Amino acid sequence: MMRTIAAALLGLALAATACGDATNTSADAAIIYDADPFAPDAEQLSCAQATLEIGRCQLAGEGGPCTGSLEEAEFVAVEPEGGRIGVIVGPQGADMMVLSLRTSGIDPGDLDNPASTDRPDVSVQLYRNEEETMAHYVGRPSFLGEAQSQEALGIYLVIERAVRSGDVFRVVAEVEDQDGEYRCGSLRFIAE
Amino acid sequence: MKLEAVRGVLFAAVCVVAGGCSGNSSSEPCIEHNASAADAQVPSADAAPSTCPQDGIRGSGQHRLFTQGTGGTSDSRGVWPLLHEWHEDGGDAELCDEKIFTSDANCDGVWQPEETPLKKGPDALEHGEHFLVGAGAYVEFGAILCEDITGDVTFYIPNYDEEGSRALHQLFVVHDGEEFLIAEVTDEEAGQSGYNPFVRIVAGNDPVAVMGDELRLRSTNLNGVAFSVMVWQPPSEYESWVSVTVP
Repeated sequence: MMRTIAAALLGLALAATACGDATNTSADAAIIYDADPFAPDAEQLSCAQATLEIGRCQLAGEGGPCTGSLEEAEFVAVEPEGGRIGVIVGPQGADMMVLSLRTSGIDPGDLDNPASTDRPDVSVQLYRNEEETMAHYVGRPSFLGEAQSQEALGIYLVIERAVRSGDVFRVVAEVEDQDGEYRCGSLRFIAE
Repeated sequence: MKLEAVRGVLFAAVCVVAGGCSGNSSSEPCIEHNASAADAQVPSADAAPSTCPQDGIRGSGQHRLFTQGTGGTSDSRGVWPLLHEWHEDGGDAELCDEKIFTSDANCDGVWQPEETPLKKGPDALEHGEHFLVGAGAYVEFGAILCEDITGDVTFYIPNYDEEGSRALHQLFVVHDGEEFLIAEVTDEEAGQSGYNPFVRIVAGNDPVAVMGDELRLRSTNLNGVAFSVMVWQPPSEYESWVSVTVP
């Protein structure tokens, strides 16, 4: 199951943007709501190599951010440490950012069923100014493409607080397939 | 909520003694038989194991579990609480008792879709609906089970959805990390911006649950079109909940 490193990364290793394997899992633990849910674990901080690329989701040909159908969407790389990602208006007027993920070597599972637990677990956390949690996506999106380049397009981060142009964000993403193949990545960017 | 608790006890007492239901929109009193049957639905504190957490699910009868909003706190897995409120004396009558929580128009103690929730909710409830945008996006809610439950489930999931949305609601017992599906329902109802409650009463699979298992509700966006699990504070008919029954 998913290993949650996002908050730990932000709390103690903000300078490190690369991630690697981690061994701790909290998925089977009993629910303890009173405890600090984001207490860092030393093993979870042992990021060694970036294995997951985070980019924008863009409509192919049009260039705008992804909305609605994703059939013609594409992954667009974002410049590390200072690239820009646009904000769009989401459900009921909430701000929203639409990202994409790219990795390799994972089992995409059942691509016909979005609710299938055979799909990779994905967790994406968005922080403003390296500390303020702004959004948390969990899901099992479709990873499409060949094994050497698999993309999940249209990771929608719904933000309940107002976003200002120029705000600095960090996004931390984790992916784990049902065979335990784990990927993670981090990206610092500016909202526009 | 303390005041509400007192009201609940009073209302229940009045209902039993006088054969009438508090909050009943009808002026007709409940008949004795139905009032008694309704009382049997209220969880009993006597059955609570000593190691069961305060918000654990225990005691024979129906338990109503409320989804926590985004203004609250999830655990490290991103699982939000299914709020189940008990009082210091172990009782939780008013939120599980249909005569108190809803209009219970027919006074049978069993909630029916046409019966309106009476704007009551647990103390810990925080506002904030859970938006699910993009196929495969989901939100999970969990609570600890202290006793076995039946497969009888009610889903009451008001939602904001854009036209064409499809959402899957699944209820599991999780034992040693393994999920056992109790019931699942798919919301394909139209209701753009309507906050319309999606309601299903289901006779699902009867799980074997033991102390410490987790009851988990998962709502998944199936086709990408925006959808939300509604959570509303102050409590209203726009608050989502499920109910399960301890035999």
